[in-house]
Amino acid sequence: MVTGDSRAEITQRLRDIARDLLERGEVDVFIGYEEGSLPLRTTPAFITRPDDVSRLTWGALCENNLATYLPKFEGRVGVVVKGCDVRALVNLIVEKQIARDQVKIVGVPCQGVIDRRKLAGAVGEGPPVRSVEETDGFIIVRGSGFEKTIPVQEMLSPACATCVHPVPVLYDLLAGDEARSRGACPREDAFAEVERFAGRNVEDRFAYFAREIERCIECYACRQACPLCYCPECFVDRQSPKWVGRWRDLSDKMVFHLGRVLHTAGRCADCGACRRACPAGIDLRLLSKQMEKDALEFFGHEPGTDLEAAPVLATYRREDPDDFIL
Amino acid sequence: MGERGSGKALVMAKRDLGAFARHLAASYLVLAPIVEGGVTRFAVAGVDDIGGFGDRESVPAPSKRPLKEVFFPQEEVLLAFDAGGKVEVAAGAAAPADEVTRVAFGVRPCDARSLTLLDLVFDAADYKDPYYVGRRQGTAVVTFACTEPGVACFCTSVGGGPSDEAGSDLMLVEAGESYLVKPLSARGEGLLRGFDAVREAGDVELAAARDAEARAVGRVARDVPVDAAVEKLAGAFGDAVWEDLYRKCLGCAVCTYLCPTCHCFDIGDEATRAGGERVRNWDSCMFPLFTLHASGHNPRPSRKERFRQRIMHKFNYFVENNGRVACVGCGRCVENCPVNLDVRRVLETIAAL
Amino acid sequence: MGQATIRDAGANPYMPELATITQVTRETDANDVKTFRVEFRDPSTWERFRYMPGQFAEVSVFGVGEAPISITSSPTQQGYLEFSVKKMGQVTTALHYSSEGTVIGVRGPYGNTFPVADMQGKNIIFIGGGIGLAPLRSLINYVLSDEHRGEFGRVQIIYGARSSGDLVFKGELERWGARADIDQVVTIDRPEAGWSGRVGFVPAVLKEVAPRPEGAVAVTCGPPIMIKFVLSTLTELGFAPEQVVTTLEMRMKCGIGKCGRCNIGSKYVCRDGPVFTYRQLLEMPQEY
Repeated sequence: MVTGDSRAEITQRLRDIARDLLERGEVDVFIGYEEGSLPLRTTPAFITRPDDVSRLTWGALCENNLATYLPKFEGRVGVVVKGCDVRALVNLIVEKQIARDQVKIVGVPCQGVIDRRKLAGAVGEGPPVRSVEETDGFIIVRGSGFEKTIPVQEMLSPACATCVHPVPVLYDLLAGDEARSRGACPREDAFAEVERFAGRNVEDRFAYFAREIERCIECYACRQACPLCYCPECFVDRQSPKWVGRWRDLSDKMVFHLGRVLHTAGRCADCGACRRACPAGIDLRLLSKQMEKDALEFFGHEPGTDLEAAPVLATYRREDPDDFIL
Repeated sequence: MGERGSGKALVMAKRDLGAFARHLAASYLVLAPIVEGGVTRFAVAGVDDIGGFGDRESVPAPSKRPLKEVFFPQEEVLLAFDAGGKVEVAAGAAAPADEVTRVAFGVRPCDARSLTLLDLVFDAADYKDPYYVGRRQGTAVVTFACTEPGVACFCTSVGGGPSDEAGSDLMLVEAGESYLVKPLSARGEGLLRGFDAVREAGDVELAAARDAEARAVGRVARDVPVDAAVEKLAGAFGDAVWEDLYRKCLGCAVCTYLCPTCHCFDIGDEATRAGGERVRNWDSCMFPLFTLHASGHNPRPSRKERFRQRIMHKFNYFVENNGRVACVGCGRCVENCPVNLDVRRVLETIAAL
Repeated sequence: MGQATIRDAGANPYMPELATITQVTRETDANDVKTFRVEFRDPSTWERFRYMPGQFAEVSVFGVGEAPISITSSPTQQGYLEFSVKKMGQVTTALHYSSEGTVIGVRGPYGNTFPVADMQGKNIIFIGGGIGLAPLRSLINYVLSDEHRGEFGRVQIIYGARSSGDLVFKGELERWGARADIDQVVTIDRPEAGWSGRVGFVPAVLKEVAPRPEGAVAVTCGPPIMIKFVLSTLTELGFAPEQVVTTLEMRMKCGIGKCGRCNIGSKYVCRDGPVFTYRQLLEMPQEY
């Protein structure tokens, strides 16, 4: 279970590791988290000098997937990863976006990250949260005239609830004790949500996605936050052939979102970066989660867990299921 | 816009806010902050929404999406053409309207102020954008002074404030159990015509409103050295600081699309069976395609140049061209940035160069 | 620079004038550059459309879009406009598939003009590369026109392309070359069977020709890399930055300084340019 001192311990451990890597010249940059400018935020920190490692922090608000900065990274880099983050990084290595020996992977046995939207809901409308304190398993939020103590476990991101690998599957250094990570979700439960959704009738499901995607403002924060969306030119930006019309009807927005999901199918490990980045609060996980399930069921492939496994949709095996072909 | 109102302050009881909204809805199309799927934006207020305003203790919540889309929508058809070569201004976007037909209700002072910046672009001496100008002239702005600025707000650092009047036609300020009602233009006064539940403000209400204004100013948490940053930016284009500042930027358009003053756009055609339409879309300097030449050359090839462009445009180029910073301190870019790249910190860093 | 003329501020700035393509000229062997002569469908459009060399227009192919294209005809040639277009993006490709009789849209004229008033009485050296001759051609024909020839000194033209097949306006090059009041040098990058002219890159040829800076103005346009070396060569030859004029290309949409993409620092190329002196360029951020 999470304890407050493990948070402080991990922070200290990350600073020590970063200092060591930078001092020994093993990395040019160390990417971790530091305190953000808003009560509920941390922010990515690019540390290049050993003296700056004291900026590094760790906690349940360290939400960003820092692997998104790694495609085509020049130089040697140390990076802090949670269990989900590293699976994107494994993909990047497999897909030759970064060399394995270029990156020092600093894993953190993950205790889950807070979902800010959920927390906002728990705090309720009214005056804004002006300060936040993380203690042993609780988060205390304060604003003018109110204070609330909320258990961190109740505020976790939905992706954390279905996380099968809270301890990074690949790391060079581990900042913390594996035993202290959040318990893994049993694999058979990981897809409960998508199975429930798949049980609804097709009109319902379409209506759900229509309602969600209608809100899209085409800012492409989901794409930009995703470590796997590194194409130099995204298909939606292509003018010839043109995939997305200028009227930006629901169908145009759908093309983007479906394209995004299909393009990350068999690669996405549900870190939740897309959903967190979306300013419109669109449920961007559900379809991706279905793809993750399909990859596992059809091909026995669990994205981002094996440096030797070729990308599942870029390989062919005779035994691959083909009953969808007429 | 238009001539100033008489400036005589009035009051209405808070419980009459709903009645006022209904009064407006009887004569105008009312656009108000409406929640859709957890996102608040200015949209046409239905009967239920308008009825709801009366029940609220406080003012409508600040909208996540900026007011600008009421005047400069994310997508709009500029022209329609047919196969025979006939070109027409798109229906519904013709000549400027002489009379007010819409009311933006529940606006915050930062958003109202943003209109005065957009006016510099779209209602300029050299060219008038008839689409924007038409909507602007046909829309009155009813603003609520802020009492509880958010944690990302910094309006007071860019010339605004929780009860800044720029861009508003009518302003409502909380004063105890009442709203102080300040007509700021003839249009604002027009909105009150026929509404009986207002009376002249007394000293007590005026004092209460003044107190509320002062309290709100005190709650704008951060004093950002914008003037110092503007000064430093004049010589900062080639500074190494951009290398550090841009690094965590993801290159998405959250900051620019949610910004009430960002106004960059793209124009292109869509072919239809009958001919086609020329469509204007919001565009963002954060996207590589924004400046990509057909030859493949890109003058702003990486996120660094694009990030610098955004900051320079708002705090240097716009100032050079228009004499004002293109920022109202609403904090939307701060709150919604996926990586908490805070423009206030950027300005602080630049001011300290 | 010459100032842009602002059209009626009350008009819809996005409404194009309709024009008919009346002549299509294939310029290059590869057929990637064509010159389109167009005439306004409504002759009264000319009352609004008064341009000077250096300006551009937003040219539309309806259903495909608009592209900023420099006007290559001279205002002294009345009754039509000419645009020389290299097949690059969607709009220019669509234009290339358009034939005589096609109706297109033209918005403009936009941007500033070559500083013809400041050039009066001076020798003018035109230095062009490839399709970069198109905006210069407007000024060349203006200067050479009967009504204006007396206002300017000697004219020198240095023009180059990758190969002889890539030279544009071949007929005019012959006519200009034959005139006694013009020194013209045409060069290609590599030797070619049957080519008796000069061989070498434009900046190198410029250095050999070595025009004198006294009482002269140099006007240059071409690929960015050529412009870069031409500017430094002119500096070596003693030209002050104020004596050198160029015209820039940027991605543009609105053409009127609103859409936000073509700026270099606080200057919008569509509104404050496209014509800049080298002095101005030196004072602007290097972001083009």
